[in-house]
Order: sequence, then C-alpha cells, then structure tokens
Amino acid sequence: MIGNMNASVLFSLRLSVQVAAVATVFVVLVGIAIAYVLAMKKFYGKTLVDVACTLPLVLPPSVTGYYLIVVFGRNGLLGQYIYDWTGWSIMFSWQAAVLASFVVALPLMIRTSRAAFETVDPELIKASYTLGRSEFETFCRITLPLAKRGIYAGSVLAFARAIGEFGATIMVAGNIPGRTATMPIAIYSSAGSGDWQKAHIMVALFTVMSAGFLLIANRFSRPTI
Amino acid sequence: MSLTVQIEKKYGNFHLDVFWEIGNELAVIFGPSGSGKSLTLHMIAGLLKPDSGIITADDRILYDTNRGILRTPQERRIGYVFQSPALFPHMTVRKNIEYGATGLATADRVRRYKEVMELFQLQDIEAKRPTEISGGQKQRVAFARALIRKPDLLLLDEPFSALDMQIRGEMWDFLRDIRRFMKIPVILVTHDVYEAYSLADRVIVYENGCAVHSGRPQEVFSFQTMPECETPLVFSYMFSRGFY
Repeated sequence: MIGNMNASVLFSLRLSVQVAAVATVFVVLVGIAIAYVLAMKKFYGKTLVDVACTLPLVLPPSVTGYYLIVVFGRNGLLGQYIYDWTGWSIMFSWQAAVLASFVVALPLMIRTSRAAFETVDPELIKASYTLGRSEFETFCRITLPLAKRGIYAGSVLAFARAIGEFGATIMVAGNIPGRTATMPIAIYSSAGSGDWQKAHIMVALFTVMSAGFLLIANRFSRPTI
Repeated sequence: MSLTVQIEKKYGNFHLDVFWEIGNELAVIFGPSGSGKSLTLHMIAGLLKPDSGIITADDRILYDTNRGILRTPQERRIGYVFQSPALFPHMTVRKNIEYGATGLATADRVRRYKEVMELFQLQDIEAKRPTEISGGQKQRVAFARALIRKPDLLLLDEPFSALDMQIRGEMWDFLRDIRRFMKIPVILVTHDVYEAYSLADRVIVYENGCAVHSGRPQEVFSFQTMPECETPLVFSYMFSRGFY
C-alpha cells in the first residue's frame, strides 16, 4: 500500500514538474517578447494589450479555465479546427495542463521582465544604435544581459506559479489519476477521499518546494551593486 | 565633408526650427538649457525624427521629408558621445570599445583597436569595468568606442559637463588631437562660454529653438553680437586659470 502511495505521489510530482517546466519554457519565450514590446514600444492599444496580458493574474482560475474550454475545447473557437485537422483534442491531456499553467503564469513573467527592461538606461540603447548595432543585436547584447536578473526572477516565479496551478488545470485537464493528476489536483483528491497521510506528504513537499522557489526569486530580485 | 541641417520639430510646447551649415570643422552649438541643442543632435544622429526638413552630409541625404528619406542611426555612420558616458556596465573597457567596431573585418578591428587605445591611452584599463574607472577615463572610453569604426561625423552632447576643470582641460586637448588625427567634422553641444570660445572653429548660437547666430567665435562672442556673453567669458577664463 505504501509502495502504491509512493508511486502515485511520485507520478504526481513528476507530472507537475514536467508540466511546469514545459509551460515555463513557453512562458519565458513569449513573456520576454511581450514584455519587451510593452516596455520599449509605443503603439495604439498598448493599454488594452497590457490589461489582456495581466487579466489571468486577477481572474479566478476557474474563469481562465472556462475561457480555455471556450477556445480550445473540442467544439471551441480554435479547438474545433485543431480537431478537424488532426483528430486530436488538447482537452483532458497533460498538454492541457501545460496550456493552463502557461496562461496563468504568463502575467507574472511579463510584469517582472517588463519592469526589468524599463530599468535599462535608454541612453545605453541609443548608444548601441549609434554604434551601428541593429535593434535585435542591441536586444541580445545590451538589453537582455542588463535585464537578466529580473528575467531570472520572473522565470522562477512563473515556474512556481505553474507548478502550483490548480483551478484552470482541473477544468481543462480534469482529474485523471495516472494521467492528468498533477500534485495540487492529487492533494485535492486525497483530502476529498480522506487519504490524509498522502495529502500530508504532498502538502509538506509542496510547501518546501514553493518556499525554495521564493527564496531563489528573491535572490535574483536583489540588486547586485 | 559638409553638413547641412534644416529641421523643424514640435516637442510638447517647444518648437525647434533651425537652419545651419558646417564644413570639416569643429562646430559648437551654444545656448542655454532647453534651447534645442541636444534635440538637434538626436535628429542628426537619427535617434529622433524631425517633423519636416532636410539633413545632408555631403551628397548623402540622411533625412528629407519631401523625398520620404529617413536613414536609421545604424545607416548614418555618425559617432555620438553622450553627457553620461553611456558605457555598457556588463562589459569591460575592451569589450565596450570593440562593440563599436561594427562592420569591420577582424584584421581591421584589431588594427583600429590598437590605434584608439594608443590615441586615448587606455591600455592600462582595458580589462576593467566602467564602475572601476574614473569619470575622465569613462569619457575617453566613450570617445574611443564612438571613433573605432571611423565615423563620418562626431556628435558630442555636453560630454565634459560632469568633469572637474582639470580633467575637462585634458579632454579639450584630446578633442583637439581627435580633430588632428581623424579630420572629421565635430559638433559639440555646450552651454559653457569658455569651452565654446576655446574649442570652436564655428559657433552656432541657439535661443528658444532658433539658430540666432553662426560664425567664428571671435565674431559671435563680440560685444555687438552678444553683449551678455562678454562678461561671463572673462570670468570663465579667469576661473579656469585658477585666478579665483
């Protein structure tokens, strides 16, 4: 029985780390691009884009999950086309958990990275342009290295948020033991079914992990000079 | 090389409308804060777009509203030294200077690097980071970085204003050396009368967004043209020579 419990805890842990890691890769790539545009560019509708990107941070996760069903469900706005072309739907798969984690973690990455980009002295960027460097070269060699601590902090926070995601995940990925039951969902199930021993272990594990992530994020947030 | 600038720009409540020409000389744009000096440099460098006008360097059109030409800063081959040295803090002095060697082949880059290091006497600090060197050294690095790829024109936006008088004097000598070795036009923005008088081949005086005088310093700073400048010039000179 204990072996069974360990296997199920380990599966949930492994799935949670896998989902959070994949989601964080996408969050970092997309988040840095959006944060850069919001920090450096002036364009019509910028406030609207900012609000849309921040919305998942303040919406109840169930509302975010609902929107994901509307868009990516088998009969959803995009989901129906994906199903028609591939015969596959993202719903109730581990990829759906990645999607949910991506959406809820993205605002954290955007906000942290944007703040980091905005602290880069604009004169350094202008200097780079006058030295003949393109915007992309300037981004890679000046802006990104100077904003890297904020980006690391954002990545850690995004990972921590992704690994703890529950509400939106349960709506789009469901609670299928051995398939989509990430650790937060497994804790919910264990508590619901009275399996307190398993719940205790997972809660303790999760608390230690989350505290560790916050410590790392704080380390990156501290100024170096 | 000659440079022609005829530009207009509205910036909030401020209206800049200037026209002037310079040859291969050291031109000083002189005027009080907020008269549009730095704004003009930004537009010559391509960091800011004028509302209308024309900017040409010899026959090369850098900006022309009528023809719809707007060259990017990267295309203009103009060196720019800012008031703050704007050195990249995560790079060493060597990396900062090499960063400016855009478009040079490796052999040229090595040769040019040696030349500017010698010209600006930076050999001893090439492994240091900007936080580890003095204000005067920072400005010399900024000059070396701006000049390594041999720009067609050098723009200086009050680069000496934060330095103390002794270092400033050394930097003026450096600037004269740069003119002697590089033989490119230099435009220096300043509101220091003595700096303008001692360095300029030509002075362009700005007032409320207009270029009100242009000519040799002796002509521009004469009592007839600018009676308000004569007294500060004398005091400035005496102060710099330690009479006070």
